Amino acid sequence: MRGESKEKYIIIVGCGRLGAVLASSLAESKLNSVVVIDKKEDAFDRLGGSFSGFKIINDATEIDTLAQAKIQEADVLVATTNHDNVNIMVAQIAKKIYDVPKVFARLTEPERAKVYEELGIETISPTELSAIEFKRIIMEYGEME
Amino acid sequence: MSKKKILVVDDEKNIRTMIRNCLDEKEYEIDIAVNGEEGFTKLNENDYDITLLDIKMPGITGLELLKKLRDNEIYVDVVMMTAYGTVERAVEAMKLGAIDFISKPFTPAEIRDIVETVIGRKQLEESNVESFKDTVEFAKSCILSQEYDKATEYLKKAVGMEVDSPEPHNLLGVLSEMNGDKMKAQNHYRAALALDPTYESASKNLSRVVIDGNNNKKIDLGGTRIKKTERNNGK
Repeated sequence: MRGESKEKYIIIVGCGRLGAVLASSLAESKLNSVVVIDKKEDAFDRLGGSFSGFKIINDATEIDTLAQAKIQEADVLVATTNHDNVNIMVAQIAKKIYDVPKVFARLTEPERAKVYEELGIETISPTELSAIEFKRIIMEYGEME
Repeated sequence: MSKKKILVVDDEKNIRTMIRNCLDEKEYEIDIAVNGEEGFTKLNENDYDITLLDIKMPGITGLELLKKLRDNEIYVDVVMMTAYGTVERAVEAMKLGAIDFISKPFTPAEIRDIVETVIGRKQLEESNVESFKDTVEFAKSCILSQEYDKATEYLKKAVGMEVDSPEPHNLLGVLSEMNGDKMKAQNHYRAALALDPTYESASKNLSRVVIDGNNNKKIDLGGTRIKKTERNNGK
């Protein structure tokens, strides 16, 4: 899968609200093959009936779980759990051991971003993104007035 | 050219949807069955070119359905879809005429590749077998028709044609295991691994033969492996 093909093999770690919405949305495209990993079986209920991808019930910090997910084929891995330490560990394994081309990690504490940067892992902080969007709306509202 | 008819038998809706999405509707007519019972009814009443069959289903399992099909003289080509990362009871499946396995999760390229390979194999005639790939595929078709000596002969030919490919060695190992010759099987698996230490199918087979000493579980035929170079070329 890896390479110039438009098709993407995507692994999403964590099927919480963010992971589930992202997985469902990505799986809507016929070009994506999506694998979601979560330790808890009931977490997959969030995916809804139209989800067209794979579910793996296991701990993503175990190498065996990532091997089950065929991480060596992955074009993208996104670590979306609520735990920064889990996200950083999985992202690091994906980047350093399996050489996954694109690795993203969710960051709940924005001040940790520097640690991720040093490891070459791109981060997305929902807190920061929300703040930016709120600010934009507030500023636009001011201009309209 | 008429569309090829495919039946997908899987209890998981997400997998059925994914397969439907992967295969071009201009080339294939896809039908679905949500369990083994429905699968049997559809296969009994209609002609399909291939069926993609989940090995692990509630009610009639994939393997039980395969046996029921053969008992009722329904000889559709079958691709077994196995649970994550494992290929279980493949010797039984192979004896029932299923040699193609794909392990979940799979990529769209893998599913298309295996469907094309199975369809291509059906059109292969002995007199036209020339390339390495055709030789291996013809050997597989011999295994399916239980012509094991002929399969061995063609696999040996394949070894000579592409000396650095591990796949024929792995299949020769599987045939040796079917004959009950574990030592010979080990030698073939080791030969495959000497050529490609990352060839997972041979690695799993060798571990099983050496450590478990159990012939009846997890034989990996390595049918859906896509070469790294092909992946890098964006296949």
